Amino acid sequence: MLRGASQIGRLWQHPSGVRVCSSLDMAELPDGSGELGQQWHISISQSGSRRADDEVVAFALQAFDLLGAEEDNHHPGVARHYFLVCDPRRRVDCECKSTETLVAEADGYRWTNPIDEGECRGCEFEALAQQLALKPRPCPIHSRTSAEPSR
Amino acid sequence: MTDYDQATLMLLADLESAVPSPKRDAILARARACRYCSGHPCAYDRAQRTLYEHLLHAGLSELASNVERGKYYDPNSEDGRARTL
Repeated sequence: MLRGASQIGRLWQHPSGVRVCSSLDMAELPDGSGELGQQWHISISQSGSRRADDEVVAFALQAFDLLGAEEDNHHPGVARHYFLVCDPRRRVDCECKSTETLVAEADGYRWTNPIDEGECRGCEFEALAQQLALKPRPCPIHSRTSAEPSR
Repeated sequence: MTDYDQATLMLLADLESAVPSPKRDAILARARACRYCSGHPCAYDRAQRTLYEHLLHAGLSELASNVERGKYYDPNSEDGRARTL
């Protein structure tokens, strides 16, 4: 079982400002079975709280030997998340993409939101960012203030 | 991996130390709440994990903007001066 925050991953920074958090997660497999399995996971952003564009992502995926990993974002945050199930027999697109609403933002960033359970994740992230005094992250769906472009 | 600058590799613990304490603690408290929800790893799902990392990316970009190549702020330093690794 994972302990201590320092054990969950490592943060890499490229001289260009690209940041990658890499980790080996034990999490529910994306096939909806409810079983747990190991998954490689990297999240990518650019310094200044900017989302990485496709070129940067391709560069990072290649550098971390994760070509073919599935992009799976669950909040309108700054990072783009990529998962690759370690066991090739269990690799499928995350079930969440068929059971949750897929939200596409103007810059092309896509994230999923529960259809009918609990709070909107965009609102959840907005509240957390406010709570932690981070740069405002208005919910792209519900916020009355328009979201600033992230890149 | 070789394209990434190993000289600037920092364990999260180092970066956490670079973030001013109150905000760092709030972020970590949230992270722990995510990871140990119900105290059982079954509750550890992608959404919780990615939420934590969103906060990490956003928080570190803003709060640790003073992290420079080869340097970070020494949490034990009273004046917060950068210390060369």
